[in-house]
Amino acid sequence: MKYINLVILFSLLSSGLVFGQNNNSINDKGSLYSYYGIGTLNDYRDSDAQGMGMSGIGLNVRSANLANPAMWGNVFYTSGSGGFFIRNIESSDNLNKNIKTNLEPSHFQLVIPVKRNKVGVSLGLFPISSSNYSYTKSNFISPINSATGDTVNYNVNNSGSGGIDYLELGIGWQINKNLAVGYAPSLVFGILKDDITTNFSSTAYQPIQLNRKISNIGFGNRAGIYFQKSRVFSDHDQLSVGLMASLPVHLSSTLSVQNYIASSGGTVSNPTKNLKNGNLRLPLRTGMGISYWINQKVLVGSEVLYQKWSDFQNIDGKHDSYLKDRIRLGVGTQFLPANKRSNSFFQNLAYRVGFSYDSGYLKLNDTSIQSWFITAGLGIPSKVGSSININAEYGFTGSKANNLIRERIFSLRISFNLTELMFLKHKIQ
Amino acid sequence: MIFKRSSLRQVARYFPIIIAVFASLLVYSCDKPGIVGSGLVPSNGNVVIDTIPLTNYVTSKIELYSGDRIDYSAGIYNDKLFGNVQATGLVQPSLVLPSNIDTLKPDDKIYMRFYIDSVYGDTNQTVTFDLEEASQRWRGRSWTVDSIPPASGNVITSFDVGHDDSIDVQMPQSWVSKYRSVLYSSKDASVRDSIFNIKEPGFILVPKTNGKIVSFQGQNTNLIIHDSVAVNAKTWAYSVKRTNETSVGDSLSQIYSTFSRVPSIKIDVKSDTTLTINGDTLNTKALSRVEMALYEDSTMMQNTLPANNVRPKVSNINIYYLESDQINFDVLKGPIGVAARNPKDGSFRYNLTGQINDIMLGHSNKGRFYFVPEGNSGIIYSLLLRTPQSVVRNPKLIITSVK
Repeated sequence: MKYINLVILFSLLSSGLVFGQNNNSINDKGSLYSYYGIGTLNDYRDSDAQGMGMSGIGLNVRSANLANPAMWGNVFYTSGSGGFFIRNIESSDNLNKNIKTNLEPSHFQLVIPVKRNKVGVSLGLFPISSSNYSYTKSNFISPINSATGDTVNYNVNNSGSGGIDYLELGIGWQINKNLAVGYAPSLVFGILKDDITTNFSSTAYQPIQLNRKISNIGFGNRAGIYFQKSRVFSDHDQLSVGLMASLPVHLSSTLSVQNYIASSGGTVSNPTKNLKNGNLRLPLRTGMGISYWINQKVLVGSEVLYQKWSDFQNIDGKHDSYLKDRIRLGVGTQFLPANKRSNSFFQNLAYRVGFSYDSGYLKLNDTSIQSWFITAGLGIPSKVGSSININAEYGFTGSKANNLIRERIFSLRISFNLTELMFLKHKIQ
Repeated sequence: MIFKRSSLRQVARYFPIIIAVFASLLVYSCDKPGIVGSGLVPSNGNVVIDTIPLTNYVTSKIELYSGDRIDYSAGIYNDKLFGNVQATGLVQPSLVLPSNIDTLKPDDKIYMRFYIDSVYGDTNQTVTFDLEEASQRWRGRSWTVDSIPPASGNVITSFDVGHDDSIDVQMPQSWVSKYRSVLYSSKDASVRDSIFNIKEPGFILVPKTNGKIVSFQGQNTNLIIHDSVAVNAKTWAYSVKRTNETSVGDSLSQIYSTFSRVPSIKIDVKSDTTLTINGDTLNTKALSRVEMALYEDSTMMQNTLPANNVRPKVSNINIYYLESDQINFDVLKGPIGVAARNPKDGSFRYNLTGQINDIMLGHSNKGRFYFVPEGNSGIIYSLLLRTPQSVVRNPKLIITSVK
């Protein structure tokens, strides 16, 4: 048992550490669409809800729920949640195809009851976007312009990384058995980097390494409300409704550029000053979810998220024309074979499937970059409230039309939910 | 044990399978790169070529030390473009070590052998030189190209230079006697040398006929004794007088390896958040190549050269970077680099990337860049350079940067 505890604990800590490394991934490549805006959007999702294609705003689940601050009051034990996911992307246009895989953290959250089942606080760290792309373009300097009098070829590699993260400390209050509210201020921070390397076919030209980055920091506010009522249509049902709103975030942003140059002292970093200061504004994000326990075994739910990206403001204080408002819809179900603990391993699992549609926040070449995903997940609970969730996601983003790319994405997410009871076994014994 | 039958414990059995699935996903992706979506993303890091004219251009005269170079020149040539040039050479022979020869007899022959490196002028012309004794001592290392040779009027012999690669000039027996007397004047070598310096301050190669300027190898100007013993010259130098240069206007400038007219430019560099050179803002500091391009008027140079006449070919322009208090001194150190002739367009290109990067990093930029055709080798090079006033092919910086 010690082994299992250590594995889960290690995984939780690992996910936190990976955050500290600013979303490093294995091969530093991801979606080419992450070049635009603030990168690929990562919705903070509850690990149970992931398998149902939702984030869990209106989902009453057993684990620490990051999706809705209102859920944090109704906790009895201190619980932690963390995880990571591996994402396999097959990108194709009308001519070529390539495959990339990334390993990234998903979130880290700790929920501590201040007054059990009444008031709880949550500390969370999670990314809302990640920029992770790499591409190379080739060109040439014509003989008439080149130093050598011959054609000089060069390759320009653009490699993007970083993203926007939330460090959130919030409170949830279970007002009564039906109603809960929550509020979470947050520190929003992150660096969006674009490293550009230019190499020439002639040694007459010095290779250029140019590192651009936009550093962002600001404060965010998120609030949620959650309502649940049992015995709505039958003796064993329960209806839940959740609302969540994340207010616009004004980030203080700085654009800086650094390049490495060859001088008489060797290749050195060219000291740069900040090129530009501005305010990047993340738009309002709202969501609403409904879930319904038909009985003690079957849960169905649906959810809608809305982000007003037409209000986004870049560091220049302007709106990027390729951004548009985003809607994400999710619908799913969960099935628990046994409503109380069984000796059968498979009877104790939670089975989840779902479907989601995302209109996306990009409109490139007059084409919206939409996504469709089907999801499936397994919840593996313990007797003391801890669990491991394994969720798979398969779907498509984008289109091959209009010089765009279609991405076929398969993701596997592993999340760990850990309660303090796991460390109290000797006392319980 | 409360965890005896835990589902988590059971799932631990499946952990290797989960890890294997993850690993296989990673491996699956590794070897399948491809260029996808090139039309989706812009090409950041565009390579841009900017051209900035060099305008802060002046010419000046720099004192040139013309002694003990590789060569020394002598002759007269009336260049239709570069004026009437008269070069006068000086050379002082050395005293042979007595141990290196058998006894030098009064009737033994001594020759002075000249090796020719270069010809400037009519290649078919045979020109005559007087070998005239200098009237006083002179030092090659302090000899400037404007110094007046100390003529004595005592011509000891004359010789002609035609198409030869080398010339042997027989020294008169009177001079052999003088040489012999010094050679046996003392057993002490230093005393002998002192006597020789007083009695034989060297020769002046005085051109007597017009037609071409010949550049002789300094180190290999020898006294040949007994047909086999070669005694290297001690020191050598040359002086140049130039008159009647053709007027070429403001758009062109005649420049010479004798430093009598040295063009220079000043490059203003301001490095802040962006880089500004000569008032042009580049919006980047990522410079891949900064190249100074200088151009000659090859057509006029060619058209002013009669058949069978040649000028020493300029393949490089030496670049000196000098601050005002370094002029006349630092040129002795040699150039910071050379602008090599681009075989494709005939321009002279110099890579300034390091210097501009250094300035961006805070190095001093008080100096000017000076241009001299070829080095101070002793051969007289001439070049017709285009100035900033030239409508075409004016001097410029060609900057390749990434924006």
